[in-house]
Amino acid sequence: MRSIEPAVWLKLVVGSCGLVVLVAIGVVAPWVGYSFAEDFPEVDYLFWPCLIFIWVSAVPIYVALWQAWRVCSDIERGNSFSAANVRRLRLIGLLAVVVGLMYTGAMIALAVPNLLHPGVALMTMLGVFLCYCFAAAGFALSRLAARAGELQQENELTI
Amino acid sequence: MAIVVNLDVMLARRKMTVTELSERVGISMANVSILKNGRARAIRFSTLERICEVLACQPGDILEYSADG
Repeated sequence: MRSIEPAVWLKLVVGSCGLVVLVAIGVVAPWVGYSFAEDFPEVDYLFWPCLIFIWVSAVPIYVALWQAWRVCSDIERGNSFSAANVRRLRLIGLLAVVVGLMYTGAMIALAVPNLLHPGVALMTMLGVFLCYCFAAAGFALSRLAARAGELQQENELTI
Repeated sequence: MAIVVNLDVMLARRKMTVTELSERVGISMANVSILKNGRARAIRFSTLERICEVLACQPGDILEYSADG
């Protein structure tokens, strides 16, 4: 059985992440929001603002996933350490920071007037932590890819 | 790059074409072009040895240091 290329695996992972995010924002978030609105009618006015915020935060996530897909495409073509990939990885890191800051701000905005449910706080903190992990990974991979590209070019120009 | 590779002079002296040089040294035409155009970052001793063997010359005959480079 022919083994699947690593780049194809990566594309599968990126695609799966896209599906997970879609389910999270399209199904889980509204369902959890409805449950909270029913259980705590005094804060049901927050349902739509929170849901819209979650949908807006999906935009940088999908941009980052699209950039990751393009990185995988370049890897598939044998062009792993291109300048474009260095830029894309840095952009992924920046977008992860943006999403992390968005949710950090949202947590603070809800925590100050004592509207933050502990369960929501826990989930959001986990998400923020993941965002900053992705950001660190993106920046680190960008630096490594840049250095690898320099070494590759030097190797190609060594006769 | 301050190190200049002067292949043309030795090729003319030995009445050899670039194609023949690439075939006899065992490097591609693209690499020979990189050498001639000064885009090479480094040359392996093994490659230099083969070039000198094929052109019957010394490394100093084809390598020149230019302070302006």
